This record gives sequence, structure tokens and C-alpha cells, in this order.
Amino acid sequence: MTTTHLDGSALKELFLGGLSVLKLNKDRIDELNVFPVPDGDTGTNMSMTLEGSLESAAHEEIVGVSELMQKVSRGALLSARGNSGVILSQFIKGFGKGCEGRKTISCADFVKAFRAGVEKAYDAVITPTEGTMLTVMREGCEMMESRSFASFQECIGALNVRMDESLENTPELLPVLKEAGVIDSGGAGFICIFKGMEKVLNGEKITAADVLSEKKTGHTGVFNADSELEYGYCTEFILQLQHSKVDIDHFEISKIVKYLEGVGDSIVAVKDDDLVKIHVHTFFPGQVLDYCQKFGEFITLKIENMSIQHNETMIVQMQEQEQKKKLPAHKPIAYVAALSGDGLISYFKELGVDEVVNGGQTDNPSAEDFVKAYENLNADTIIVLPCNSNIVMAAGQSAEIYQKADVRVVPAKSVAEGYAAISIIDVSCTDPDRIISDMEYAVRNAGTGLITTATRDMTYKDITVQEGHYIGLDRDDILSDSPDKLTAVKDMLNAMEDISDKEVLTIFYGKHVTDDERSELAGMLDKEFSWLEYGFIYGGQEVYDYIFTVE
Amino acid sequence: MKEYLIYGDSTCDLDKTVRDAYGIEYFQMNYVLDGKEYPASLDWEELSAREFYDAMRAGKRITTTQVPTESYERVFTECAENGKDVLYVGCSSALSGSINLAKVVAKDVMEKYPKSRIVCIDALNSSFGQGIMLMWASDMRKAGKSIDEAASYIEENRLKVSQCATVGKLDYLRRAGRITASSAFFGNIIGIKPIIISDVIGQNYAIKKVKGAQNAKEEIAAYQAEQIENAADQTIWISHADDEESAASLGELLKAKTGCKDIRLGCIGPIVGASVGPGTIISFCVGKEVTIKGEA
Repeated sequence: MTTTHLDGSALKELFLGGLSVLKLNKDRIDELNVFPVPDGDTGTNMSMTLEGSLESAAHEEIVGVSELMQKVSRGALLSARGNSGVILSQFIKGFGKGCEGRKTISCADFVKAFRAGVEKAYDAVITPTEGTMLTVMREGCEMMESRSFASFQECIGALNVRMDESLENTPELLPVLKEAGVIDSGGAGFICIFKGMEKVLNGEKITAADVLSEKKTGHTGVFNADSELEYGYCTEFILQLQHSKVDIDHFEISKIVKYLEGVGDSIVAVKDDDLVKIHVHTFFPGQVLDYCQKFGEFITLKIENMSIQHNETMIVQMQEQEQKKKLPAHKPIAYVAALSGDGLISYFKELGVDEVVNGGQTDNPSAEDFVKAYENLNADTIIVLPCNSNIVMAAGQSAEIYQKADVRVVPAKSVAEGYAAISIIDVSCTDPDRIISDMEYAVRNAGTGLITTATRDMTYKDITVQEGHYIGLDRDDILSDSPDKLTAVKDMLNAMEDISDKEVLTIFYGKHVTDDERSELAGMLDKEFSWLEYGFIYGGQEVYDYIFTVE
Repeated sequence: MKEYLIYGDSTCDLDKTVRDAYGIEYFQMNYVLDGKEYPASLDWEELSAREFYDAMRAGKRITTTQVPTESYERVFTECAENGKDVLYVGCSSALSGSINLAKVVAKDVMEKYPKSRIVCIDALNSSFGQGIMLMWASDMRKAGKSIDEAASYIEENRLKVSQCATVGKLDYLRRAGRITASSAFFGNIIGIKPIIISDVIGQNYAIKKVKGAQNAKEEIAAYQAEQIENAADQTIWISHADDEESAASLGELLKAKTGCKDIRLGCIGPIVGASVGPGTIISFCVGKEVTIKGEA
């Protein structure tokens, strides 16, 4: 059933629906709050303002719209708190004025009243800032004015769609939002009200009992004339250090901390240039303030009796800031590789690897080790190079566990393959699919060659290996065996099927390889494998004298 | 209709045979090797291509200079006095200041000789990319089109000339600094080959990197196969810096991948050569308009 006209009681139902949705989202909106001051209370302020607005009207039978709005406007003015609450109350006042003298309103009347509300809201702010609740309501209003509506369902439905778009765009208008990665909190709260109205219009009845909390649990409820002060006061403030009082550059926060330790606990103290943020639980907030005022003046101040439920805004914020500080700058794509050897690690990092998981041959990392590495990153996609066939599984598992980014494993089963993959990435590319397909191609195209010393006699397939000899391996098989290292390399390369089609040889030399050995190897390569372009890179690995990537 | 001359410059890489066949002149730039200045001839009169590129292989640094003002003044004035117009298609302004200088000189000359017409067009490309546009101009002149018709055709279609190239060694590019890519793009990687295109503003821009020359050629062929239109009627031009073998093998790949009518090979002249170095191969075809813009 569609609604074409609203009387006072219907409009009240709509507002109550709005309040209920606003309250449901209160905490979320608090978290969004960064403008104008990050105090995390927009949702609370707005819902308290609206709740207060409706309180006097909620329990009365009111028929006329004008009569309802008079009461609501009056309530709004009395209960407005916080910037966002004041703006909301002004909107309500303007809206009410727009309904003056009417028993019922049509969609067109609603739009006119809404316009009056927007204007009043703009008037309330000395310097209106775009990218806030004001923008959201104004753009919503402009849309409604440009159209005509057959019903309130249609009208408010369309309003919400437009305001949602407008809200999504607020970070583009207000850099502080973009930096914080949020949308405007006041705008979000404002939309909640109309979302609630839409719900009611579409048949979800919400009664006053469902919405309004019982008569305030306020100051008389828990803490009364006979109560004892059990927990003290949560005391939070920001102190602006003053040059006239203290040498700011050399002021040590430890001085305040020491004092606070004498009068309270749960202390958090941070000095940020010329600002000091303090959080302390104390029985004597007055003493704390007196002491701190010796160094500056208060910018914000909040003291709450801890026997009554309260919010420790600052401590939560400080913890979050700490958390943020630790995380590196956000990247669309980050790279993780499992490696060992100082040279390999630093070279892979130079090529774009962000985090290295220690990936020794005998000491394979667990899925948890990978997850720990991911925790240090701040990326949408994390591309993982296991660089060892024994590590591929653990890497795959970690990808399933970790939820904060899309973890993709490129199955590079050796350091050589891992190098082939990482050396081909385009760090400016932000399309993970393209990068992964390039990397996978590079891995398929890359051959692995390893030179090490046999630890015992053995026969494997056609090759007999003697303890102490140098052996050449690819990823799966033993390819050569010789008492001479250079011969082992030569035979190994020759045993690679497609060596004559290959073009590039990258040689990571291990910890114990000498300069002379390297120049001998270079001489042999010039002579025997003249078509290959090769180069040496210090890998610093223990077990293998050489790791070859053949591409 | 008034007669007009068609001019390129030392970066158009068209040799004498082609220039004569199409009636194309060119303005010479200069290069400096071991403190001596040479005219950048496309016919290698003083130093052969092999000598030139061997000098680079030996680590000699070759610097280049744009077309001297006097050359423009002399040619434009002579033409004006002889009652001939000039259509000049110059090297991409992202690579050389010549075309902008020419525009200034042309304006002066046209003020002095109000009846003369000198049109200077930025090819937004170089080597055979610029060469292809000069041949367009010549074909249009032959078909009786006016200088302005030829000029506007080139301006409308120049971004349809698709360049795709790779180099022999990255060091030359790094030294000359005439390529756009972040330093991290190349890194210190053995055997890496950039895939370079000419972007919408005529800068050389590395869109990708691959390992090894063969992979680079396949990448180039795949890119051009994507770009080309009307392949069956088209000749793909490949210029090379003293590496005919590579150019020929790229030609075979391109022919197989695009189904083009013909492949023409030619030498990269001294100006382009000095910035890209020996072993560079550059392919050009005509097709979809380039839309990529590299970061500045």
C-alpha cells in the first residue's frame, strides 16, 4: 500500500523508525567521526538529539503534523548536543517551520519542508563545510525538487539512494575524510533517520517502546546519595603545552607520568609535538588537572565517574593510532617470499619483496609464520613466493587462514623460480591478475640449477654420487657429479634439455664461493655457453655454492 | 594547386632509396663523438653504421643536437622565394626540440613572405613511425591533395602508427635518459628487456619487461598483432641498430602473427641510435589509435 499523505501520528511513526535505525548504527557512526574533531561521538550525539526531540511527543496522541513538529522542534532544541546534533536539531526546526499550519502533508509538502530544514541547517553553521551532513541533505533535497513523486515510499526511497551516493562522495570533498579512509559520520547518521522512515513506510512497524530507552539510567541510577566512590574517575584530556609555562621542545612526558603514577593508574600519556594527551584513572581528578595546568592549558577535558558506564574514548583511539603507526603505508599489492641467505634476502627486497619469511632448506616455515608476515603488511592483495617445493603447502594454507587481504600463492618451487617471478614484476601495475599471470609464465619458463656437495655416497636414477663430490641438481633430479666444481656446473647445464633455447643465466653465489672460482666459472661460460647472457649476484646461501636461474 | 616540398629530419630513418622514391627531403641534426661533430646523415657518409654502433659498444658516449636554426631558415626562405610551400613532419617533441624550433622559424618566414605556407607537424613518433607519415604525405601529394589536406590527414592519424620496440642493452637507454619508466621498473636485473611503445604524447614508454631477446620479440609481435588493422594490405616496418639478424627474426614472427602483406627492414639512424644503442629493434604498423600515456 502506498502512502500519499502523512498526518501527525504517521509522521511520528516515521521519525521513531528513523531513531531506531540511527540507534542501531550509533557505534558504527561514532567510529566514522573524524571531522571537525575526532572525538568519536557523532552517532551518540545524533541519536540522543533525535531521541530527545521525540520524547515529549512519543507518548501522546497527536493528529496534526504542525502540532507534532512544534513539539519535536522544541525537543530538538533542548536536547541537541555536539555539532552534528545541533545541525540535526536545526534541520528539524526548519522542517517543522515548513509544515506550519498543516494537518497532513503530501510528498510535495514534504519536499518543501525538507528544503526549509536544509536552509536552517546551513544557517546554523558559521562556515558551512561541504563533504559533511550538509552536503548530503542538500543534494538529497535537490534531487527531490527535480522530480515529482506518486508516494512517500517512492519519494523517501529515492532520497535515500541519492543521499547514499552523496555520502559516498564526501571523501572527495573533504580531504580529512579521504586520509582517514571514511565517509562523513554526520551524513551517515542523517541517512539512518530516513532509512528508518523508509522501513516504516514499507510496513515495518516500530513502536515507541521498541525504540526509546527506559527513563535515563543517568546519574541517579547507579551512583546515588549513598554510593561510595569505588573506581574513581576516568580522566582524559588534551593539554596544549604553553611556551610561557614550559620549554616545549625539551619537555619530557615522563615528568607527568611520574606524577600520575602517584595519584592514579591505567595511565596512557603521549606527547605529540606541543600537545600532550593524557588518560588516567584517579580518585582526585582535580589534583591531576592542577598539576598538568602548570605546563599548559586544556584543549579538551572529560571526567567520568567510573561507577557509571562510560566510554574510554581516548585510550581506544590511542591504541588504534599505535596500531596504525606500526602498519606500513597501504599498497594495492604486496609481496612475500620465503628465503634464507642475506644476499638473496636483500636482493629480493630490492626487486620488490616486502616481507621475507625465513625459509631455510631444513627449517621450513609454517602457515603461521606466513600469517605473521602478512600481519606486517597493509595491502589488498598479497602475492606469495614459497621458493621451495616443501613450503608451497604451508603457504597455501596460510592463504586460506588469512582474511585481511587476498593472499595468492605463485607456486615457485625453488629460489630460482621465485627469482624469475619477482624479477619480472611491474611495481607500478595494480592489477594482481596480470602480475600473477606474468609471474606464472616466468616460473614456467625458468629452469633451476643447484650446485652443492654430496653428503654421502648414493645412486639416483642413472647417476652415482660420491660423498664429497660436487653435484648439480635441477628441481627434481641429480644431473651431474664431479670432484671438480666447474665440471659439475658444466655437466649440469649441458644436461638441461632446453639449454640451447635459453638466453639468460642468473647466478646466485653462496657464502663460501671465492672471487677466483667466480672468474673461472665466467671463463667457462664464455667458452661453452657463449649464447647465454649471464651475471653474478651475491646470494649468501649456505647449502648451495651456486643457484642458477636459467631463462 | 601550389607545389609543396615534404621534409623529415634525421630521426625519420628513411634511406636514400626510399626518400628518392617518395620525393622526401630531410633536415639534418648533428651528433658528437670524441669531441667531433658529425652531420647525422641517414646515408652514413662519414661513419658507417657499423663504425658508429661499434663506438657505442666500446663504451663511447655519443651526444646529439637538434636541427640548427639556420637550416630551417635557409630551407624555408629558399622555398618561399621560389614560390614553394613546405610540409615538415618532425621528430616527436617529447624527444627533440626541433619541431618547436621549426614552428617559430616558420612563423617568421611566413610573416616575411605572406604568400608562403609552411606547415610543421609533430609526428609524436620517430624512426619509421615518422617515416610512415612522410610516405603518407608523399602519397597524398601524388594523388593531387593539397598541403593542408595532407597535413590534416597526418594530424588525425598519427596516433594510429603503433611503435613497439626492445633494446639490446639497457645501459644505453639509461645513459641517454630518453625513456619514461620508474627506476624501479628496470632494477638491476640480468637479461631484462623492456617493451617500449610511443605513447599519446610521443614519449617512449616501457609498458612491460620480459627476460631474454626471444621473449621480447614474441611480446612485440603479440602487441602489434593486437594493434594492427587491415594487416593484409600493410607493410610492417622494422628498424634496427646494427642487428639485421634480430630484425629479420622479429619480421618473421610479425608476419606469422599479424598476417601482414610485407616486412621492410632498415637501419636506425645516428640520432635515434645514439639514445637506444646497438641491438635495438623497433617495429611499426598502422592500426588502433594509441591510448597509453606513460607517467611523466
